[in-house]
Amino acid sequence: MRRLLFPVVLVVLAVGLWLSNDLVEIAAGIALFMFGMSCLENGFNAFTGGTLEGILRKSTNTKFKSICFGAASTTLMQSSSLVSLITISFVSAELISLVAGIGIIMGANIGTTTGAWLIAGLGLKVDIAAYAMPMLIFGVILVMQKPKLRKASGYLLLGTGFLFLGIHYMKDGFAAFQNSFDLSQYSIEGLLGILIFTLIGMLITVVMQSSHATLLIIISALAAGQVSYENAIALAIGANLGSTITAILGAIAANLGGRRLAGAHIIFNIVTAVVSIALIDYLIMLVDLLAKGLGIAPNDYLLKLALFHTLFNVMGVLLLAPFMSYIERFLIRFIRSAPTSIEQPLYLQASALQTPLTAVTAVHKEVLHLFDNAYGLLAHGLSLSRKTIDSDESLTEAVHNTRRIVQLDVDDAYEDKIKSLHSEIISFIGKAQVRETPHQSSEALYALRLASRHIVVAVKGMKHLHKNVSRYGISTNPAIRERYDHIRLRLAKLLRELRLLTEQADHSSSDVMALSLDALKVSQEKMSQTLLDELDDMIRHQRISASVATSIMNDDTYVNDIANSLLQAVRVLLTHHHHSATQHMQLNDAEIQQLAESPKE
Amino acid sequence: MKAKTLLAKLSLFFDDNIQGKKREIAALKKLLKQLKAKEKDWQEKLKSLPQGEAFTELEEKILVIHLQRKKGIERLNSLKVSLKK
Repeated sequence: MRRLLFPVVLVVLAVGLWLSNDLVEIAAGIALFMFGMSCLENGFNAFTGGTLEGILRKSTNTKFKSICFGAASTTLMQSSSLVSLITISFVSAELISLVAGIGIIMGANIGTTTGAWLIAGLGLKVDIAAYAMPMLIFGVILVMQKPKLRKASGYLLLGTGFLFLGIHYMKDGFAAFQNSFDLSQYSIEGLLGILIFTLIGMLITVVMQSSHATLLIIISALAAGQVSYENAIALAIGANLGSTITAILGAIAANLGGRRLAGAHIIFNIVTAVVSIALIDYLIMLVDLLAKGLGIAPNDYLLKLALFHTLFNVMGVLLLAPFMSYIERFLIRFIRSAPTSIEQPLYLQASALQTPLTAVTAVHKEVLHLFDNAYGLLAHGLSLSRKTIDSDESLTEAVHNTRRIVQLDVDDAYEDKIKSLHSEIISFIGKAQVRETPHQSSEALYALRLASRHIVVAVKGMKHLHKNVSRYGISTNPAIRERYDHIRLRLAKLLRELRLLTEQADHSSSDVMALSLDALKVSQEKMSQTLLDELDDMIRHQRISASVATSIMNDDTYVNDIANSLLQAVRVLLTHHHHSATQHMQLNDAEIQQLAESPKE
Repeated sequence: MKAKTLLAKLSLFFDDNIQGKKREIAALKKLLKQLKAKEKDWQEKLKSLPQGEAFTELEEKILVIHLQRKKGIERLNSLKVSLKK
């Protein structure tokens, strides 16, 4: 259907352009306007390497601030879609809360109304095409420069220039169109008119994928007298509702955070539109009253439309802002990810690729998620529950009191919980590295890929270890049982310590925690040496057979591999985000060995 | 300020290597302070612990942190010397 529709639309458009010169001007105006918006997005995207993220994080710690941030950033960028995209990527990466994201989306709805003021107040009254030309000239010169900031400034100038030029063409196109065809004869009065024109406004926005462009058409048509003021108001309400459809379309491909934010957008737009339609007569009266106060002439319908647009969006925010926390809870409750047996990544969404910071944060959280899965799998592999390791319970007793070894299909668990996630991490990092990333982010991504690999190696080690733990773990020979208890206790202790450390992976003193891994290394090394010493003694006194002793020695090697891999992975998770000062303080292998060999007293 | 002094100060400011060392010194100082506090805390805790597994484990941790601090101080001194040069 879609494949057929696209060429049909192109042919209809081509015929329309061939038959009507006025339509050429109007369509060219829309095309230039939309291209201008795309240039502006390109320009602002260049600033998303740190500056914008920094501002975003600081500006969203209260509901009021997040609404103001949404309004200010959309006013500045004249693109609510770019603001929404960045917000979605931040909510997905959990850099900001969902409630802050809802605030930004609400603010963006107010910010987007400044576009109407720009078009109505300036665009159609001043010859802005005259300003557009120098902007385009300087814009092109700057775009041809190599430095990133100059290029971005060039795109911003080009974007503004094309916006202005688009407005100019639309204005001329509609003025000429008025002479040949009068659309105003189709105006409809009353509630029916409001509903029909709201629907038309919605349809135009869905086709154009931009409420900004729809507003430009509405204001140009109103200026040319092609639509009545009341119908233009309904079209503006429709434009807002239309952006809901684009939000729904965007949410289909988005992650959980994106879908919840789209949900907030839908709630906001529908509630605002319904209330506006219900109170339309009062709102028009209020606009007249405010227009009088602001010195807007009673017949200046362009500015009155812009005022209405702002007013009804502000009304929506005032209406819903007190309920932001309720909306957040509602969205979290009703928009959830579908449960599957194969582990799905929680943070690796396309939106997180938007900026280097969100990409690194998403990968970091996903590797933590992978670690969490591995932790559960390793605990089960030792026949201990996660609950036991998470608690303060004595591990020595828990290990000693084990009466049954849990038979775990490590291969299956590895395929479902580890391999799929590891592959997704590798693929996501590949995509992130294709993009232009700062050196520090590239290094962080490389380190995180290695950490993910270490976790996989640890789980593979458990695959081998689990066979003998199942076989000898509750052996009736106390000497063998004690050795396997020792092995299980050694790993369980490590898991508990690492769990505590990863829970605080974002903590400011993560360097101190990373250094504490050395003490764990020493302890692991010591336990391994104790086991091997005891084993020698037992072989000498023939308390265990040589073949069982060999198995224990092999298993000790697996435990060493698991422990080292986990320690390396956690070190990266604790220090990936900054240039760590721990590099020269970490103990080397010889120092660890020496400490492990030193006598206890 | 004379132009020559100003230029010298500016070149120092823009020297990535020097700025990097200064950043590392600041980070090391902060980290050493945190480790010192932690070592002190643990030593206090050790006094109240009876001999046993927990005592030995904490003793081990103190030994490790002490060695790490020693290495950190050495690094800090070498950085300071190289900056003076």
